Amino acid sequence: MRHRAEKAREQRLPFPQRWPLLAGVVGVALLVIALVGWSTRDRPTGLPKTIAANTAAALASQTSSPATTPPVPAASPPAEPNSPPTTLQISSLKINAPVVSVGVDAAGDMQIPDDVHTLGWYQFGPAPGSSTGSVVVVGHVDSAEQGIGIFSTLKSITAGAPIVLSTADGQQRQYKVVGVQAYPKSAVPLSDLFSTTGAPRLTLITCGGLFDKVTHSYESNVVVTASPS
Amino acid sequence: MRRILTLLAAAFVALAGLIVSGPAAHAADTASVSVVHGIPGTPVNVFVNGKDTLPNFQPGTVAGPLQLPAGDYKITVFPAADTAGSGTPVITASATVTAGQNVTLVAHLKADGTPTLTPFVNDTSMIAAGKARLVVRHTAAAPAVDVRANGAVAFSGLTNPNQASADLAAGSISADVVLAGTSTVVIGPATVDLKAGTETIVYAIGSAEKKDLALVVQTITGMGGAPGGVNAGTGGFAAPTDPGTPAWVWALAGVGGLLLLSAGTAGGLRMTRARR
Repeated sequence: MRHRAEKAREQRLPFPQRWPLLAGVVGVALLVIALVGWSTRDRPTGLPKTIAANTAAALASQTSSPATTPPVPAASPPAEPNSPPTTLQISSLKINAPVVSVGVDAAGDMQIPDDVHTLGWYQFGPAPGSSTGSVVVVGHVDSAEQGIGIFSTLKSITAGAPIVLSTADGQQRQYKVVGVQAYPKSAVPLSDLFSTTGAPRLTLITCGGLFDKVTHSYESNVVVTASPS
Repeated sequence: MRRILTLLAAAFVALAGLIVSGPAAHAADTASVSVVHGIPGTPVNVFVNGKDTLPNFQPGTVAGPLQLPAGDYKITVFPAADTAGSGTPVITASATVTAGQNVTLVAHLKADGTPTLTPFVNDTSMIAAGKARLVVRHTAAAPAVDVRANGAVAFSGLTNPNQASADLAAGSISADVVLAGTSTVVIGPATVDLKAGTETIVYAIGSAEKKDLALVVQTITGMGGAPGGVNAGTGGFAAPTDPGTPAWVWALAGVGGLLLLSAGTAGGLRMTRARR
C-alpha cells in the first residue's frame, strides 16, 4: 500500500517544475490588477459638470458703464428697482418655488429659509432688475429633518436654461443660465458671488459634493450664474 | 550679440515698468471729493483754484463726488450773487487732497457762528455683511450734543467740528440730537434708513441761536462685505453613494489569491519532498 502511494506521487512529479513560481507570479499580478481596479473604481463626486468655469469672477469685474466723473452738483442716479422677488421658476427642472427675503445669521453666514421648499433672496444685495451686481438666491439641497430640498436638482441645470424671478411689484425678470460651477467650501469666491458691482446677474447657490457625516455639511457649494435675457 | 541682449533686456525692463505702473497709477492719483453746504440761508458759488466749480450751491445739499487729482487746492466761497468771485469771500480755505482718499469738504458754522470749511476723510473700509455704517458730524453753531438712535444715546458729548461712527445692523432708525447729558431735543427726530454696505453720514448744521439747526445726509455705497458662507444642506441625502467595489475586482482578487495559495502549497510540498 505504502509503496503504491509513493509511486503515485512520483508519477505526478514530472509536472513542470516551475509551476509554483508561475502560479505565484500570476497570482500576484491578478492581485495587483484587482488593487488598481479597486483604487481607481468609479466614485461619483456629486458635483455638477462645470459650465464656463470663471463666470462669477468675469461678471463681477465687468463694468456696466464707463467710470465718468459725475455731473456737479450730483444728479441723483436713476432709482434702482428694490422690489423683492416672491417666486422663482426653472421650468427645465420643474422648480416653481416661493422666495423670501433673508440676511445673515449670528455667525455672519448667509441665512437659509427653514423650509427646504422655500428659497431665500439675499436682501442686502441688489434686487432683481438692478443695473449692476449679483442678485443672490439660495436654497436647500436637503435637510436632516425635512429630507430632499428644492435645489437638490440644481446641479443638473444646463447652459441656456431659462429662469424667471417674479417680484412683489408684479414684474417678471427673465434670465438664462451662463455658468455652472462647484467650489470647495474653503474656496468659494464669496465677494464675487455677492458683489453689488459688475454685470447684472442672478446667482443661485446651494450645497453639493460629498457629505461630511461628522460636521453634517456638504464639502462644496454649487453655483449657477444666469444673465438677464 | 551682447549689445543686442543688453538692448533687449533694457526694453523688457521698460515694458515691465509700463505694465506695472500703467493703469493702476491713474486710479490711485485721484481722490474722491464731495462738498456739503452747511450754512443755512446762503446760496454760494464755490471756486476751486479760481474756477467756479459749484455755482449757486444751495444750503443743506451735497455735491459730488468729484474725482480730483491729488494735491493742494485753494477754495474760496462767495455769495451766489457774486458770480465773478470778485467781492469778499465768505470762506477762504486750502485743502490738501491725498491720492486714493474719499474726502468731504464741509462749509459750515463754527461753534461761535463764524463760517469755516472743514475737510473730513471718509472711512470707506469694508462693512460686515448685513451691517451699515453710521457717521455723525457736528458742524453746527451749537454746544456739545448727544445723538440718540431709537431713543438710546448712540454718541455722547459730540462737539464741533468732530465726528463719531459705528457699524450697526442695517435697517431704519429714528435719530434725534439732544443737548449733551439732557433730553432737550434740538434736532429731529428723523428717520434714517441705514442700508447694508452703505455709509450714511449725518451732518448737524445751522445755528442753535438762530434756531435753524437741521440735518444733511450724505451716503457712500458699495462697501458691503459678503456673508461668510452658504450652508444649505444638513441631510446628506443628495450626496452620491459609493456604488462599492465592482464584481470583477473581487473575482480577480479571488483567483489571484487561490493561485498564490496553490503556489505556496506546491512550493511547500516540493520543499518537504526535497528534505526527504
